[in-house]
Amino acid sequence: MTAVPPTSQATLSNRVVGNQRILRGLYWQEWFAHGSGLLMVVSAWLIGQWVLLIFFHPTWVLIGGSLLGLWLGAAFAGADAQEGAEEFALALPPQRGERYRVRLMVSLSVLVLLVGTSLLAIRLDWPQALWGLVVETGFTEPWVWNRSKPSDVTEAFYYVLAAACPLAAYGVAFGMASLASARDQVAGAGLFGALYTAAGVLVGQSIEEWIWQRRPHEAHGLYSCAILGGLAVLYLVVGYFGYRRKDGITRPRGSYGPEWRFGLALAGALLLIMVLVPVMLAWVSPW
Amino acid sequence: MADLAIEIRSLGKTFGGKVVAVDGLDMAVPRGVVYGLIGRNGAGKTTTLRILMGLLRPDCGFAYVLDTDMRAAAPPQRARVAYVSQGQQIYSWMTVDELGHYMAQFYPRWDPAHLGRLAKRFEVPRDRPIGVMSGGEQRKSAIILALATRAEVLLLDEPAGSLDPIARRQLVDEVVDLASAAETTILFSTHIITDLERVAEYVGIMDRGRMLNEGRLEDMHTTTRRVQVIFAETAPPAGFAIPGAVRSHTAGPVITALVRLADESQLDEVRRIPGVRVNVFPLGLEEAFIDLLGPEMSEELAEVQS
Repeated sequence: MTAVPPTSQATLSNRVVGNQRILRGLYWQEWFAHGSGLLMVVSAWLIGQWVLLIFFHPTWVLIGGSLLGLWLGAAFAGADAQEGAEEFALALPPQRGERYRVRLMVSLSVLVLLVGTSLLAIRLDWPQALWGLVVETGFTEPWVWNRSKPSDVTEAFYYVLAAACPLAAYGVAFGMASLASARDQVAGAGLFGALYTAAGVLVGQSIEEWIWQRRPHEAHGLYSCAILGGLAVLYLVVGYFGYRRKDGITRPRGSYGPEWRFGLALAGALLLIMVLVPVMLAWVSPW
Repeated sequence: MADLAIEIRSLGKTFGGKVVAVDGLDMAVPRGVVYGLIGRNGAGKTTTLRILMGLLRPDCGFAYVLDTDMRAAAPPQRARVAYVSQGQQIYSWMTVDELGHYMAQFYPRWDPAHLGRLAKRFEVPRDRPIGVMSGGEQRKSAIILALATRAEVLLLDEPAGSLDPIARRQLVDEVVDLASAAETTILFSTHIITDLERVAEYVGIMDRGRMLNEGRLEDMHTTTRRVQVIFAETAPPAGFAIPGAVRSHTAGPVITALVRLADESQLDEVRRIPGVRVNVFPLGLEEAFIDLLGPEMSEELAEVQS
């Protein structure tokens, strides 16, 4: 039996761990866990937009951003459940609210930065302007892309929708994943995000068509974007309070609580509506 | 009470409205002691520790560590307690050193030198990701990280579960070291009663979510006895009970009981009954545990003792 060495006792400091130090630890852990994945995604995105000029229309940002949002939401909020390490993580001194906010901050920042700058770049044609400089130097010849100009209404709709869709996909995925306590529930959170986002767009558009008698391509997105924004905020708030209250233990695969069963049933119903509504509208449409 | 490190009163927890894990549990752990919590599988030990750490919400009652509800406590309060769970899964992509760097941000008394010494003593590779370690090494990593926090209260759930005998002995020695420093309160649950008898000062025996017996191990040794009362007639008289009996079994003219007696003179009244013979046997903790929680005090046991 060896007593605790006196040198060791001497090194003990009774310093108070401040909030900044705790936040630094949490940010460090998030970067350590997701840094390489984030670097790859951000690099691929930037190369796609600025070098390969793939993102020349908001639709690409809408699709790419939604996929990015689903991944960011599930990967960050569901990291501990995915790892099976919730019991370890939640027994550490930081409070659950701090952990949630740090994850939200990091992942949402990446999403807003990429989607926001991409939409801005498309709207102001920055990549073309940049490459124009190269063309002017004589290194290369201009690449002419025959883009059909969408109508003004559709264009405005697209820019807002291209921001709202990724946000909704991310918000739902993040909120659901933060409530997950089993590994397969984290993947389920991504599925919910995709379904709810698609349903939000569909329902919003249907309302607009019904109220203003507009054709689908003329929809201005007032309701769609409001629904998507509301979905994102709702799930992030529900996720925040749910995460603070949930049991801090990882459950085995397939152990779905009643809220998950309800969610799955709702998602199934939404899927059915998404299939049936366009068919019905096409059938009864006067146009 | 200021001198209690852990206080639990009327604690209750049910899962899914059906499975009663903890049922009106009362428990008190004084500061600076090693407290061993024993009980059969499903007795509610793990749930109790999880509630103490704020990982689960109790349905009723309260569970305080250092006069604080850990679920609502601020980080400085939470940093006074460290926990190793039964199936501890720590971040598999981090090494012990990286985990040490991470945890050092949260624990004001974090001791990196102690972590180094413990890693050497327990033979844990500090530069290898946790995910590629063996199950035993992962367990040891979790334990040494918890010990390096120098927390005031350590909650260890089956800490020696997947350890080899040498590592188990080292863990017990480490707990003894901590206890001798008299700074740390250690609450640990275990099935290995020999380990518990070596280190624990206090013992609590849980069954079906309740505390059956709690107190100093020394007192338990002196007060817990197996008592056998043998009647001359074929069966004991109706309504007869051995004083202090916690659990008893009747087989013909023999009643065997696990009793808690402050003083053996409490049995004098029984001894004075004509034609009755009273045998008193001292009990080890393991025997007391089996007598208390075993399915039935068997007739064979009664016969052997007679």
